[in-house]
Amino acid sequence: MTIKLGKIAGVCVGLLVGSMLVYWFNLDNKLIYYVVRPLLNRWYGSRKRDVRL
Amino acid sequence: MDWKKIYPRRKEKNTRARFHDRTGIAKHREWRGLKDTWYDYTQWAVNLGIMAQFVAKSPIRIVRGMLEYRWMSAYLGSLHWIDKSMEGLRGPALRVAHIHMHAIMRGSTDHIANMMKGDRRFGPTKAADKQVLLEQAMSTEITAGFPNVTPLSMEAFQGLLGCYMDQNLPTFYLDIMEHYGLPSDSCRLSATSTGVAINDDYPQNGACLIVNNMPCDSSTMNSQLIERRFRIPSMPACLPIRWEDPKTDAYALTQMKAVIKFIEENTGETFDPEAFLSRMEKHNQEVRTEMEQWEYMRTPYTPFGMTLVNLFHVFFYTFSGGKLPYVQTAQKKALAIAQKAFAEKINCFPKTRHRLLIYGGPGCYNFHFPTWLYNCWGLLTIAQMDNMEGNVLIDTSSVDAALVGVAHNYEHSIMRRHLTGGYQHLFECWQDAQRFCCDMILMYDDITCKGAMGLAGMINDQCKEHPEIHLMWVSNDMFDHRTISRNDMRHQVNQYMTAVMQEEPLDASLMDYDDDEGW
Repeated sequence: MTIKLGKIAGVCVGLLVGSMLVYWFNLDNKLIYYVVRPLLNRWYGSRKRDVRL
Repeated sequence: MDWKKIYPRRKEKNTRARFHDRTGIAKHREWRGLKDTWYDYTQWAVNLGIMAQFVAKSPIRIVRGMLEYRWMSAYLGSLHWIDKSMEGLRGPALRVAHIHMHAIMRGSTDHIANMMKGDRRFGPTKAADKQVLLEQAMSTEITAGFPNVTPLSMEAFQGLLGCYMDQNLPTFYLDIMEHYGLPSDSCRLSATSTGVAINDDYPQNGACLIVNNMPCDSSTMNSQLIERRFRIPSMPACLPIRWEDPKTDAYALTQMKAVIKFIEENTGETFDPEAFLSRMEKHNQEVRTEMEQWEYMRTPYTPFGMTLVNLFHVFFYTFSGGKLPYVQTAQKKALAIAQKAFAEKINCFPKTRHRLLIYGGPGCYNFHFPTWLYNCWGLLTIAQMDNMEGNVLIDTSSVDAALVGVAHNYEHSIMRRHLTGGYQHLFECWQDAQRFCCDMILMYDDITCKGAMGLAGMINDQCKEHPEIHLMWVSNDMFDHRTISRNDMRHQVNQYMTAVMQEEPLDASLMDYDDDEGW
């Protein structure tokens, strides 16, 4: 029981520290700006759209 | 002009060093002191939770929407957008901004989720049959008598809000529109909507579409092209433009009844007078709380300022109108903070040198302009033109009286009241500056808004009668940052503040930088 609680506490502390690092170093926005959006833009550019007037 | 030579950085903060050049992506988030940075971190986590709830509402359709619609990818930058809205905020002002932002995030994500759930492009769906699309600037009170109907905005998320998120999104759609030979000097709002239509980027939502009758040249020209993409019945709500004349009320009521009949025919729902009047009471509560908030905005202890006060108002005008209970909750929470700040005489915006009222058609690609005005020059934006729109207390003594009230609320709507055919036009700026104890007006010169452009000379003329108020013009191209960039807008303010006001910046690192590649 104590070990289980210890593990849960460890995971919670890990999540807290990890999320604080993501927050402080702005890793969420860096990932989206430098990786996700360029990939998505390439995907959108490759698709054919019905552009008839 | 090399501003850095004129104002070498001495003791000023070098705020701009926190960002990567050109992209504007922050190297790290803002340090606001231990207490406020911790608070900001917890609110960031709350926003992540709201986004997770959004995806959970219809995961497959939302992922398909992300891969189908280019405009949806702009919303991936919403956390960056939130950070930019909060730059320089501390204490009560930071808390009020986050409270407003959570309501905006909840409402916006719910709205997009409903759009995806009701998108016939991804297969048949019953949700679409109970959705009514409303053109931008129309308030949801119009559908208040139909509790089972979901009102959806026709183009706000593809155009205006998308532009707030990413300045490079509308340029893609504007180029498509111009590629087909449509004039490039028309209003960027409807021009972008047309580009979205031509590129087939609207979700296939709704049982019917209700459009507005704003006398805007661009809107009139483009509406046919937009309508072709919505393969559902549509009708214009032809409400009077000269709304201060009570003789127009009878006509407004007839039009409102025609709209109700149109919704009944297309959704199979019946108008419920009790539900309608109950919603109008809630609408009135929202408006009354807003009026109370204005009293605090008049004081030097206001925690309401910069960009989000305006956006929150536009948000609840467009998406709530008494419909979303968390809007009232957010209003009351923010008001409690304002009451405490006032009681304790807390100066929530300590860098303030001038109290600013912003009027005119804004450069939407520079949504965070008021944040910059405060951090660079100490110009605190107390209110913007959109704050004055809607805000009509509706008479709930009878259904007819309430319907006329809804018509009035719509007649006071965004753009309609001040720019395209409104009764008082931009001239109300002087009264509003006095109402909010502002000593400066920033008047946007939207170079594609013909309605407002024609009034520039008259505004300048009236300025002579108000020597106690400084008037500063800032040109912009609404959705197109390639014509007048964000930095061009900053330069105009720099010129005015140095040449006319003879003042020095609070932070010279913010005066001149390139963020053209940024969201």
